[in-house]
Amino acid sequence: MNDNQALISLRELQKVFLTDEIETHALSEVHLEIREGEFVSVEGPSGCGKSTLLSILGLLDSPTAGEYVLNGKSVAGLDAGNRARIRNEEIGFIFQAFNLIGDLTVYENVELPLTYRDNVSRTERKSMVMEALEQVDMSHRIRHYPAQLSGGQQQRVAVARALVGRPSILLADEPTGNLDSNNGTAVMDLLRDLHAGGSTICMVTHDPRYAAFADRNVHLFDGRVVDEVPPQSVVGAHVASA
Amino acid sequence: MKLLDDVRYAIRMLSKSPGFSALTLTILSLGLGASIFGFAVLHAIVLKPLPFSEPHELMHIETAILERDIDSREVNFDDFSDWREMQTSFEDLGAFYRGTVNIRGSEKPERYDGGFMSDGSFALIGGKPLMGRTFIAADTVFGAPAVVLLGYKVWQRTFNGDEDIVGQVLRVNGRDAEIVGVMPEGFMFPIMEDIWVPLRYDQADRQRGEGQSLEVFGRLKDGVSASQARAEFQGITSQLASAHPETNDGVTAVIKPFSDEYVDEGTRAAIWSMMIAVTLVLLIACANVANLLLSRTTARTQEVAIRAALGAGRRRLVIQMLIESFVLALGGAFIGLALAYWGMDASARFFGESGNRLPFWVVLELDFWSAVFAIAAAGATALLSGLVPALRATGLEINLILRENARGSTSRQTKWLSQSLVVTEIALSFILLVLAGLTIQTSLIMQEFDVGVPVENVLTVRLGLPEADYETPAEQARFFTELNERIQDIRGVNKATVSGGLPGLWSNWSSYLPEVDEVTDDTRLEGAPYIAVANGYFDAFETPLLQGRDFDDRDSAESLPVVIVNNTFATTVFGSENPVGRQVRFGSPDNANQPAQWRTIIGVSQNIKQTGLGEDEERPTFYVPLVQDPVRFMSVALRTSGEPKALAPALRNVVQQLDPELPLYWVQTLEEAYQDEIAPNRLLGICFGVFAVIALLLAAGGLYGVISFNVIQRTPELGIRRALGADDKSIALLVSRQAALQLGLGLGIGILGAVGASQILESVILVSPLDPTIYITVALLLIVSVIIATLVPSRKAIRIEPMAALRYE
Repeated sequence: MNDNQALISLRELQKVFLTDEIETHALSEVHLEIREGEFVSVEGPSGCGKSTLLSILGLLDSPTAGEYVLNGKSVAGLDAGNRARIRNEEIGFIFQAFNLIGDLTVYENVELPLTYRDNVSRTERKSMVMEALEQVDMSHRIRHYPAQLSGGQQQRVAVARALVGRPSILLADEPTGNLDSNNGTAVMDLLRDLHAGGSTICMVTHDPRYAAFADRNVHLFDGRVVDEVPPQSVVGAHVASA
Repeated sequence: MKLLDDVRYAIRMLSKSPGFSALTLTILSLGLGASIFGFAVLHAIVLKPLPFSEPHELMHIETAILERDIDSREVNFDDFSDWREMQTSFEDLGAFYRGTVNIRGSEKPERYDGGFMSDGSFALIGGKPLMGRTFIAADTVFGAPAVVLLGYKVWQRTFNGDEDIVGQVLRVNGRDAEIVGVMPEGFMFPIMEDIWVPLRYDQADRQRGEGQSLEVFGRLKDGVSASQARAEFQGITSQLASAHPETNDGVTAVIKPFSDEYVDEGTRAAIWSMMIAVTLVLLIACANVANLLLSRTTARTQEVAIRAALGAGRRRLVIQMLIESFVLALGGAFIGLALAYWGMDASARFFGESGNRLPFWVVLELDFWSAVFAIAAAGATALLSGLVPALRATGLEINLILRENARGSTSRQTKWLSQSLVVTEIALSFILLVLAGLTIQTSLIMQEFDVGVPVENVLTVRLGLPEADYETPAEQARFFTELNERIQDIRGVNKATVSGGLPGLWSNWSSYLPEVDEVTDDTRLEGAPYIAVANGYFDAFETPLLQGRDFDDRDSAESLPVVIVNNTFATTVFGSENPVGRQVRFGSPDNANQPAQWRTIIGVSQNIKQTGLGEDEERPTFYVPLVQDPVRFMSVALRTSGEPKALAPALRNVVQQLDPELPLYWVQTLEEAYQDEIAPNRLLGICFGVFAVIALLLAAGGLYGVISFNVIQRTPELGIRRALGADDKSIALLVSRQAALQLGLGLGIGILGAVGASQILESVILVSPLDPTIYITVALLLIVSVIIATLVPSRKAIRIEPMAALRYE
C-alpha cells in the first residue's frame, strides 16, 4: 500500500443500466480509493463490472449515483465538455485493442491528446511526444503507421500516447488482452517501470499473472467490491520465470 | 494554428480516401456548379441593380386603359409632353423609342440599333459623354440641324476611334448629321443601342395621339415615393381625360421600376424557376453527400471514440469533421465555379449567336457576387451535408465502441436518417424532373412548331427605310413594290415576297368589326394580327387561297381597300357563309394611329400561324396589300432550291440598285430565324435537361450507395437468414423492399411538390403544369433508375455465403 493521499476516491458509486424497463445494476455501492503512485489491478469474472468501473474512472461514462473525486475535485456530475477536458489532462488510457488511429503515424497518434490542449505549442508538443516515445522505446518508429507495427509495438505506442500528456493516472483496460505472452509481459514490464517511476496505474485484467504486477488487487463480483488483497504469490513466480 | 492543423489533417484524411473524396467532390462540384450558374444568371438579369446612379429612383411610366383590359401601353408624344409639363414628382421625364439607324460612313451602309431620345434623357440616367455632348432641347426641335451621338462601338469600328470625330458630319438615315459626341464604352441605353439621334416630331398636320409611341421614364425627386408619384399622375391623367376625351378618356398612368420593364414577368419566372431547379440539384447533392458522410462516419466511429477518449470535446470533434465537409465543399465550389464559368460562357455565346439582344447591363459572366455566392453556398452545403453526420458520429456511446473495438454498426437512427435522405432525393428529383420535362416539352413544341408554311430553303432579310428619304406612304409603297418585282428575277430564286412580318415571327395588331355586327361598344372589339404583304405572298409561302383571289395589280392605294382573311377569321366571323365580298372594319375611330377603315374581303387563305412560335390557338388573321398600308420596315423572303444564303449578295445588289444607302440586316434563313426566336426557351430547356440528368444520376447513385452500404451492414443478418433457409427471392425481396418503400414515399412527396413548383412555370411553358404524360414519364424514369440502382446490391446480397457472412466482423 502506498501512503500518499487518495488520487481517486469513489464512494457508494452505482451504475444502473435501463433497458426496456429492466434495471441492470452494473455497479453497486462501490467504495474505492486509489492513492498517488499506486498500481491497482481490478479483477473479476466477465460481466462483474470491471470495464464499467474503468469507464467511470476514465470519465467515459457517468455513475448513476455516488461520489467520484479525482484529484480532490468531484467529477461525477460534470458536463460533457469538462469531462472531455479532464480526460485530456488527468487521464491516460491504454486499451486492450490499442485503439490507435490507422491513418495517423506513430508520432501523430502520440501527439493526438496534446492537439486537444490550447496551451501547448508545436515545439513543446514535439519534445513531449519524443520523450513519451523514448520512454516506451518507440522513438525510432515515429513515421510508421500502426499497421506496420507488431501488436506489442502498437501497445507500446498506445502507452506512449497515454503518457504523453503527463496524466495523473493511467487506466489500462486488459492491456495485454490482444497480445501473446511475450509481448504481454513486455507491456507489463513497461507498466511496472512506469509505476516505479511514480505513475499511478489502474488496470483491469482477468489474468492473475498480470494482476500480480499491481500493489493491490481489487476483486469485483456482481458489481460490488468483494475483496482487496495484495497480489498472489504466483505472480512472483511468473515474474521470476519471465 | 489549430484551424490550420485541422484543415491540413482534413486534407490528409481525404487524400487517404481518394475514391470517397473524388466521388464527393464530383457530386458537390455538379451541385454547386449548377447553383453558381443559376445564381449568376439570376444576378445578371434580375438582381443586379441597373448601371445608373440611384437606379431605384428611376421609374418607367406607361399608360393603361383598364376599361379595355389594356394594362400596359406605350405613351404618345402629346401625353408625354403634357405629363412632363404638369408633373412635380419627378426631377424630369425622358422619352425614347428604339429603332433602326442607318449610317453611311466612308464605305458601305451599316444598320445599327438606335435610340431616338428626348432632351434631358441622358442627364436623367447620369449618362455622360466620353467626348462632346449629349442632346439639348434645341436638337429635338423638328427641322433643326440633324445631330447624332455615337456609341463607343460605332466610334471604334467605323471611325477607328478618331479623336477628332466630334463635329464631323455623317450620313444618318439618309440625312447629313453632325456628330455631337461619343458615349463611353459599355453605355448602350436603353437596351443595346449603338447610336442615338434626337427625338423629333413634326407637329404640322398631326392629330393628338398620332405618331410614334414612346417609352417614358423619370427620376423621382428626393423624398418622393413611387406611390406619391402614382397619386399625382392619377390627377394628371384625369385632367387630360377631361381636356381631351377623344384620346384620353379612361387612360391612366402606370408607374413601375425601370428595370421591371426590361425583365418581364415571364423572364423573371423562367429565371426563378431555373434557380429553383439548381437549388433542387444542390439539395439532392447535399442529401447524397450527407449519405456518403454518414457511411464514412459510421466507418470512423472508432476513430471518433478514440479522440473523444483522449479528451477531444464534442464541439471540437464536430468542428473537425465539419472542416472535412468544408474542405470538400470549397473544393466543389472551386470546380463548380469553373463549370459555371463554362456554362455562362456557353450561354453568352448561345445568346450572341442567336441574335437575341439582352439589355446592355445584363452580362452573362461570373463576377464578384458569383464568387461570394459560391463561398456562401459551399458553407451552407458543408453545414447541410456535414452537420448531421458529424453530430451522429460524435453522439455515439464511445465507451461501448472502444471496449468492443466495434467498427461502428449503423444505429437505427442513422439508418432512418440515411433512408430519409434517399426519400428526399427521390422527391426532389421528381420535382426537378417534372420542371425539366415541362420546359423541355415546351422547347420541343417550339422547335417542331408548324407555322403552316414550308420553312426550308428560305432566305430572309429585314429592311428599314429612313423616314427622311421615304417620308410618305406612297414613297414607301413604291420602294417595296419595286423591290418585290425585282427580287423575283434574282437568279436561283424560285419564289419571293416582301411582307411586314414573317410567318410565326411578327405581325401587327388591329381591332376589327365585321359588318354583320352592330357596334355597341367600340372599346370591346376583338383584335387580330394583320400583315401588310406584297403581291405573291401566299404563293411564296405556298399557302393556298381557299376562296377568292390573291392581291394583284388591281389593288392600289387608290382602289377599293381590300383584305384577305384566313380560314379561322372566315369561319369565326362568317360561319359557313362565303365571306368574299363582305366588309370588315379594321382599326377604330378613337385610335389616331389606326383609324377605322372598311375593307372588302377578296379572299380566304389557309391558316398561317403568324404570331409567336408555339401559339396553339389558330387566330383570326388578316392580310392587307402593302400598297394600301405601307410601313417603313419590311421583311424579304426568297425561296430557292439551293443554299439560301448564297442569294444574299444578289439581294444586296438589288437593294443597292434601288437605294445605295440602304443596309440589309437580320440576314438569315427562315429556319435560323425560328431558332433565334426560340433560343431563350431552348437554352432554358437545355439547362433544365442538364440539371435533370445530374439530378437523376445523383438520385440513382445515392440510392445505389445507400442500399449497397445497407447490404454490407446487414451481411451478418443476411447470413443468418441464409443459414435459416432464406432463398434468393426472399433475400432480393428483403433488399428491394426497402428501396420500394423509399421510392413510394419519394414519389408521393415529389408529386405534391411538383404540383406546387410547376405553377411558377405557367407563364413560360406551352403545356399544362399538370401534364399527366410528363408526371407519368418522370415517375417511370425514377422507377427504372431505382430498379437499376437496386439491382447490383440485390445481386450482391443474393451471393452472400452464410458462413462468410457470419464470419463478417
